[in-house]
Amino acid sequence: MNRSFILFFSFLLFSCKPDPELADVTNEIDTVPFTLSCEAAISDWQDVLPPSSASWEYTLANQSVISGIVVSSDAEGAFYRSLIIAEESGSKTLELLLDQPDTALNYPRGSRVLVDLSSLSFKRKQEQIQVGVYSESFGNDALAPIPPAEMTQKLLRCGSVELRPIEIEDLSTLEALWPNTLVKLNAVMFRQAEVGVPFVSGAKESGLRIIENCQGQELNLLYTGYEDFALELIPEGSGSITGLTMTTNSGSIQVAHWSDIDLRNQRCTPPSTDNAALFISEIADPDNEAKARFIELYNNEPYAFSLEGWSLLRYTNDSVEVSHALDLSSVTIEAQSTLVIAADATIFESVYGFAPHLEAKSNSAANSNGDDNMALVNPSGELVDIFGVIGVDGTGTAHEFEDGRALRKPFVKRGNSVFEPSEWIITNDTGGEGTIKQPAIAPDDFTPNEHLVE
Amino acid sequence: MNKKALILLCLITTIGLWAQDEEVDLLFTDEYARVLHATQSPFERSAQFDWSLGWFRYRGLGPEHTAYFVNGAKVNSILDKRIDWNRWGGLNDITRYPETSLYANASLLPSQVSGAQIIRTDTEKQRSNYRLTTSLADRSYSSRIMLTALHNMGKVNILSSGSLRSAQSGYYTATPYAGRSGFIQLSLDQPSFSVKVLAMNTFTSRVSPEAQTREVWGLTNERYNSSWGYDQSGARPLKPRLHKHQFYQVELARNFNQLKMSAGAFNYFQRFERQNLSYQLAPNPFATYYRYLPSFYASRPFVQSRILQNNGLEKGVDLDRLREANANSEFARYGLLSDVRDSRQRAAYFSLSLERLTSRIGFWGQYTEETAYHFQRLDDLLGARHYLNIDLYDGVEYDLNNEPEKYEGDTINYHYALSARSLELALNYQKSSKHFEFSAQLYTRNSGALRRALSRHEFYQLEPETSSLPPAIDAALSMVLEYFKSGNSEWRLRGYLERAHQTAEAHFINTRYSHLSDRPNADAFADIALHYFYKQPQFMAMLQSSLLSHYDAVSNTYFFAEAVDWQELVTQRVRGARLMAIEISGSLQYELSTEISLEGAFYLLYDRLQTPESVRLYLPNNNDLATDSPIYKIDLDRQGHFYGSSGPHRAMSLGLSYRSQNYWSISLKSNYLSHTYIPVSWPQQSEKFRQELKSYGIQDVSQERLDGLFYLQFLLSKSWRTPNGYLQLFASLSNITNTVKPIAGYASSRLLSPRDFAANQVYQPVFATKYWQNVGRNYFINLSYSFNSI
Repeated sequence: MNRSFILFFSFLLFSCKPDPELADVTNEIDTVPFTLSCEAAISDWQDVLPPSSASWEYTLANQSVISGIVVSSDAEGAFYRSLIIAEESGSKTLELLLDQPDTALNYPRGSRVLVDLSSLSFKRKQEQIQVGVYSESFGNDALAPIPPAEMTQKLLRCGSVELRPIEIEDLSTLEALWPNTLVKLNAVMFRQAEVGVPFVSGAKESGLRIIENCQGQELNLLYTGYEDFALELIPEGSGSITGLTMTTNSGSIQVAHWSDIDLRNQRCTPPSTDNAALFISEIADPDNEAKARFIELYNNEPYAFSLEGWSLLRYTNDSVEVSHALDLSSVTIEAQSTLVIAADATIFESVYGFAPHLEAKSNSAANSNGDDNMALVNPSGELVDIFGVIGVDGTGTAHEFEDGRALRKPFVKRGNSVFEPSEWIITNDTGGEGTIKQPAIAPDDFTPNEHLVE
Repeated sequence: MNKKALILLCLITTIGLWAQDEEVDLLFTDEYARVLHATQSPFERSAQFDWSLGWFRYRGLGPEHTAYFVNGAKVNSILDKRIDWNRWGGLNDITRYPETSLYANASLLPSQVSGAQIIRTDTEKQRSNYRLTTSLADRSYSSRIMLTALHNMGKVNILSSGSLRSAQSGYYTATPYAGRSGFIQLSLDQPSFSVKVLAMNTFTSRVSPEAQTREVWGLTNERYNSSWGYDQSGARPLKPRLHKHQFYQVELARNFNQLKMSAGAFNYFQRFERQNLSYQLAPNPFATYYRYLPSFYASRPFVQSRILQNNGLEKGVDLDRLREANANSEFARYGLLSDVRDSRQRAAYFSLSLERLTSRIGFWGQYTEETAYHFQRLDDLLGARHYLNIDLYDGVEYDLNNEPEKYEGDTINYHYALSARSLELALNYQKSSKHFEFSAQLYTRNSGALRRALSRHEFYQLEPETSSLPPAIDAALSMVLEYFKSGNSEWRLRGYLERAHQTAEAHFINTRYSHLSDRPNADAFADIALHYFYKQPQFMAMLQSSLLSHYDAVSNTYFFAEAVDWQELVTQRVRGARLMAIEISGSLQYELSTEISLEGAFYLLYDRLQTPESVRLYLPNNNDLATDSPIYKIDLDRQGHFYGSSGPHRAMSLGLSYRSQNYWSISLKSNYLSHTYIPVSWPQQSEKFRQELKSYGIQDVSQERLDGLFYLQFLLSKSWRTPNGYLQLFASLSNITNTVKPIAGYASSRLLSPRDFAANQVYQPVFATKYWQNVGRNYFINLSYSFNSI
C-alpha cells in the first residue's frame, strides 16, 4: 500500500464527525416519570380541592390522583370539550376542560376515571369547580383546556359503574345540590306551548325550554344549539328527564342524550295558580322622568310559578272598559320575589341600573300617569288584586299617584279584589284624601325589584 | 491494465452492480436513476448507487419516462406509464446486467426521453449453475436468502430463482418487511430459434418512510416513524404497503441469417394495497397531528406548562384505545382501510430486425390491454359493529347502489375501473461505418381509455357511468450520431422529440368520484445531448451535456386546504408547466497503480420552471355536476423563477479503491449532494397573494433549497476460489459519519388566505413543510457461493 493511498485514506477519515448519538447519552434523564395506572393511590376530594370562595380563585393542584364518575357525555353534541365528573361517594362535582372533542368515545358516561392532577390547576367559585391548565391572558388569570396528548396521560378509565341519578320530585330541592349533579326529574313535561316544535329554536344558538312538573313548578332546560337532537320535536307527554344541574342559571338543567328525555306518560295537569298570593306591590310615575315608569308584582308564595293565563289590566282614567290587557303568560315569577314591568326598558335600565323583567309600552299598566286603575286577573278570569276604583278617575282621590308612587304596605300578604287605601302608601303632587304630597324622584324614591313583606 | 486486474475490475463492478440492485431495493425509493449506457463509468456507478442516498434522479425525470422491457415486451403500465419495478426484488440473479441506454440500444427496442432498460432472462447471463446468496443489512430488510439454479435437460434449460427477505423492523421504527419471490423459466435455445416460457411471482410487504416537519424530527430521532400501533399482540405498522406481482411470458425467436424475428405475449397481474388507519367523527389518533404538537400551542397559554416537553411522539397508536372508542359507538369511528389497485395487463408483441454488415433496421410492435380496478376496502373494524360508508361531516353518500352499513372485506368510498388499449409501433434504423454510427428511431402510439364508475356517488349520480378518453396518437423521434476516433474516444450526439397525450389517470380531475376532465394539451419533450468518452489504459473520462425542454400538460395533486369559509380535500390541477434544464456531468477514473485507482464524478443541473398556464383547485361538491368549472382558480400572473424539484441539482463523488492481488478490495468514496429544491406550492404564488403577504411584513417566500449533504461510503469485497466455484463476500458501510439531513419534501398548501399564512409564520409554523431525511449509517453484507455442481 503506497504512501499516497495512506495519506488520502487518512484524509477521508479525518472528516469523520463524532457520532451525535453518543453525545446525548450523558444527558439522559434518570428520574422515572409517573405513569397513571388503575392501581394508583387515590386521594380524597376533600383533601385535594381548594377552599370555596365567593369569587373565582385559581389554585395549582398538588401531585395527587382522584377518582370520579363521568356524568356528562358529548356523544350527541352537548358538553362540548368538557368532561364532568362526580365524586364516587359524595356530592361534589367538577368540570375538566379538555381540548379535544368526542371524549365520549373513550370516557363514556358512567366511566370510572382516575385523574392525575399534577401540573393542573383549579378554578373555583363556591361549588363551581373547573380543572385545566393555568395560563394568563393579558395579565389576567385564565384556565385553558388540557391538550389532547396530555389528556391521555392524565385521565385514565378504570371500568364503569351503573349511574344512579338523584331522583327529584320537588324541583325546589335542586338549589341545594352541587352544580353538575346528575338528577332525574320525575313527572315533568314541557310547557304546552312548546310541544311539537323542534327542540332547538335557532340552529347553533343557545337557548332554553321550560319544563314543569305536575305541581306547577318550573325549570329551564338549557341547550347549546349544537346538539345532534336539535331538530327532534318536543314530545307532548310527561315522564322523566335526566340531566345535569347547571351552574350559570339556578333552576336549570342540561341533557346529554335525547333518550334522557323519556315522556311517554299522559300529560298531567299542573295545579291551578288561581289562588296564588300574587299582588301589585308598587306602581311608579317619577316626577323627573316619565319614561322611568313601572309597575311591580310580588309573589308571596314559597315557590316559583308560571304566569300563564295571568293578565294585568289597565282602565284609563274613568273608563269602565279595559284600555289595555297585558298577557303575562310568557313569564315565570320566582318564589317570594318581584316581577318588574317597565314602560321603557332602556330608560328604566339607565335610571335604575338593572333591566326589568318585562317591558310593556304604550298604554299598559306600566305606563300610567297616575290617575288610572290597574287590575290583576288570574287564568280563570277572576279579579285577584286591584289598584284604584274602576270607573273613577284617580285625580284628587285616594288612588292618585301622579308624579309619585304607590307602594303596598308590608303587612299585605295576598291580593285584594277591593281597593283598600289603608293597604297603600301613596305619594303624588296634590296630597288629596290621605295621600302624601311628595313628588317622587327616580331612582332614589323608588324600590323596584325589592319588596318587604312581614 | 492487465488481464487479472480487468477480471477483478469486472468482478468488483459486478458485485457493485449486485449491490446497486440491493441498495435500490433497500433504499425504499420508488424511483431510481437507471441511465446511460452500461459501460460502467464512475458516473453511472455514482448515479445508480452512491447518490441514491439523496434520492438522485438524473435530470429530475421519474421512471415513467423510461421504457422498461422484459425480453422483447414493454411492461410500463399504459394507464399511467409507471412501473412498480423495484418490487421485483430478490430476483437479482435474473435481472442483473440490464441493458440500460439513454441512446439507441442494441436490441432496437424503442426508448423514451430517459432511455430504455431491457431485462433479458437469457441463460447465458448465468455464470454458474447454482448460486446461493445470503445477506444481512439494517435497511428495509435485515436478512435475505436467494437461490438460483440452472438445469440443463438436454435441449431445454430450466432456470429458477427464489428469495426470501424479512425484517422484524427495518431502519425506521416499526417497519417490518416481508418479501418473497420466485421465478421459473423453460427455454429452448438453438442457434436459429429459441423459445422461452417464464413465470414470475413476487410478494412484498413493506412500510415507506414518512415525511415529517422539522419540529417533529427535532422532537424525535432520525429513525422516527409515526404510523404504527400496538395492542396486546405487539406492534404493528398502520400504513403498510403490499405489492403482489405475477408475470407470465412466452416468447419465440427465429433467426434466418440476417433476419431476426421474435414474437411473444405476456400477462401481468399487479396488486398494490396501501393500508391506512382512518377515523371519522373521532380524534385523530396519530401523535403528529398538528393540534397535538408544541407549535400549535406556542401562541396559546401552555408555554409555562411542562406539558410541552412530554408529547409522547415516539409512542405508537394505542389500538386498544381505538377499539374501546369503537365499542362505545354505534358505528366504526376508527378502522383499517386499504386503497387497492388491482390491474391486469396483457399484451402481444413482435419484433423484426434485418442486420447487415453496416446497417440494421428493426420494427417493433406491441398491442396492450390493461384494466385497473381501484377501490377502497375495509380491512379491520377494530371491534366496531359496522362502518358507515358516508361522508359523516357532509352527509354525502358514497354509493347510492348499496346500503351504507359496511363490514370487513366490503368495498367503501370509491370503486372504479380504468381500462386502456394501446398499439405501439417503432421503426429503428442504425447505420455504422468506420468512424460513425447513426441511429434513428420513430415511435408512435395510439391509445384510448375508458373509466367505468362501479359505485354511484351522490354528487355525481346524474353523470354517465362510463366515460372515455378518445384515442390519441403519441409520437417520438430520436436520432443519435456517434463518432469514433482512433478507438480511444467517442462522441455522441442525440436529439429527441416527443409528443404524448396525458395518461388515463391524469385525464380526469378526480378519478375516484368523477368523470370530469378539462381536456388539456399533450405533453412534449425536446432533448439534445452531447456525450464525449475518452479511454486510455490507465485513464478513462466522460463528459456530457444535455438541454431538455419538458412541457407538462397537466398534473394533479391532492391536499387538504382551507380558505376563509371552507376547508376540504382539494384536487389541484396544474396545466402547462414548462421546464427547461441544462445538465453537465462527467467522470474520470485514473489508475494510480495496478492496485490503486482514483475515480470521481460530477453532475450539474441548471433548470428553470416557468409559471404554469393555470392552477385550479377543485372541491368535491355538486357544483361540479353540470360543468367542469373549478371552485377556486388561482391567477398566476407572476412570472417566477422556480426550480425543478426532483432530487439534487449538484452532485459530486470522489473515491479511492485498492485491489489486492489476493482477490480482495476496499474502497472509500466521499459524496456531496446539494441544491435540492422543495416543490413549489402554487396556491401561494399568485401576485395578489404575494402583495398581501408583504403588507403583513413577509417579503421572501421563495422556493426552499435544502442544505447540502456530505457522506462517506466504504466497500469491502473478497472472493475465494473453491473446487467447484467461487465464494464471494461483499460488505458496505454507507454514510459512515451518520449524517442525516432532509433530502426531499413538500410544502404545505393548506393555508390559502394570506393572513392565515402570515400568522402561521409568527411562531414555529403549525402547517410547515414536511421532509424526508436520508438514511443514516447502515451496513450491508452479502455472501454468495456460485458453483456448478454440488
